[in-house]
Amino acid sequence: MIDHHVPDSMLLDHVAGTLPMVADVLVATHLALCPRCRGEVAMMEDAAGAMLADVEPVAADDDALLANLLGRLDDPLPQDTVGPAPFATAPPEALLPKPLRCVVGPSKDLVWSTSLPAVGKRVPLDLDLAGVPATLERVFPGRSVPSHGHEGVELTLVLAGGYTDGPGHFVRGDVQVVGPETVHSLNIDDDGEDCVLLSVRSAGRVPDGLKARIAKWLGAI
Amino acid sequence: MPVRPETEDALLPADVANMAAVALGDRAAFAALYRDLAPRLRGFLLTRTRGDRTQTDELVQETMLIVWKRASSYDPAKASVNTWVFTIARNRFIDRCRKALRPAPDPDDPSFVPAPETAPDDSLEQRRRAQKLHSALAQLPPDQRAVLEESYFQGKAQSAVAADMGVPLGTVKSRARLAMNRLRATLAEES
Repeated sequence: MIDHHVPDSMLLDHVAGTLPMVADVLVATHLALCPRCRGEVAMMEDAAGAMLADVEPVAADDDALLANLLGRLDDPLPQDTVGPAPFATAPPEALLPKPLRCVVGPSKDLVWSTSLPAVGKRVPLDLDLAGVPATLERVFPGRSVPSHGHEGVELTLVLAGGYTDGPGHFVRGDVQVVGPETVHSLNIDDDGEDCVLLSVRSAGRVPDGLKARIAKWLGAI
Repeated sequence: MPVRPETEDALLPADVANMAAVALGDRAAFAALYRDLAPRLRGFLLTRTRGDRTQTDELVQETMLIVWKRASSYDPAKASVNTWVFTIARNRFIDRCRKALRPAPDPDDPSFVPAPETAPDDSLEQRRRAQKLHSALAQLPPDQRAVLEESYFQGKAQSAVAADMGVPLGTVKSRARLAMNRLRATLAEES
């Protein structure tokens, strides 16, 4: 049961399509796991559709445009500007839902490197033209991620296992939003299962100009 | 046969009837759908592309081509034609910006968690919902509706909406929240 959801304001930015790619992937992955948030998104999209009915029509030479289109109906969809996701055909698996799998590939092919000896491993993800830093983290059961702070905001989506942070317990599908002023530590559930997390940060290895831009949208949460 | 807008009082709305015909390959129904949708799509996408006419025309054509190709996947029990077309146009716009397809949840993926109770599969109920939403949106206070318009149509993140309106981010977030609460409450009302 998912108790920790993507904040509604971020769902609205997802519906509007204004999130950076990596945050969009995190939200889409949460949506694959969370019927409640899919319901919210459906309502937000219904509202957008209802508002489209009221948009002021803009005229053009629709006779010519329509004739042109009718002549192209048997053409394949244009692929010139848009290719498939890099791992669109990766086979289904239990760990990575499709929105994440189709951009990072099958989990069995991920190359993990040690982040903290005896605590965990990580895979840096390079998903975003805007350079928003993201990592997959794998933390061993019963271990703790020591107390740390963040320069910016951090979004965490749980993919496997679970952890406790203060009063909150987070399991698969849950999203945690940690603000810049918060110092916290994660205590991984001691249930024999590795805890796998998708983590997106607004600060870290980000150049300064970008940092401001990213802090701006993460601030919108 | 294409259904003209004047038959809107009939049992099936014109656009839903046209979509059903388009799914069967009816080009005349597609033409009727195009004449209804394209001018409003153009209005939406011109805002989104900051007035870029060439890009807008291409996006309208691509969106309508996708409507033709995927018409059989349209489900009137799930969404209005306007909502379905909005999501196609928005995704196409984002895909072009990113030069990659936007990842989306796939109900056929084994990792997909379905809703515990299946929603009533009823296109009449869906249309009632769409009508309720439409009138609830019309009654929203202007400052709340403006937040949704800037977000959906101008494609602004809420932080940018706040800067635009000259109000704190928290105000924009609470206007969006109030708007959503209102829509949710309207949908929950007995008709």
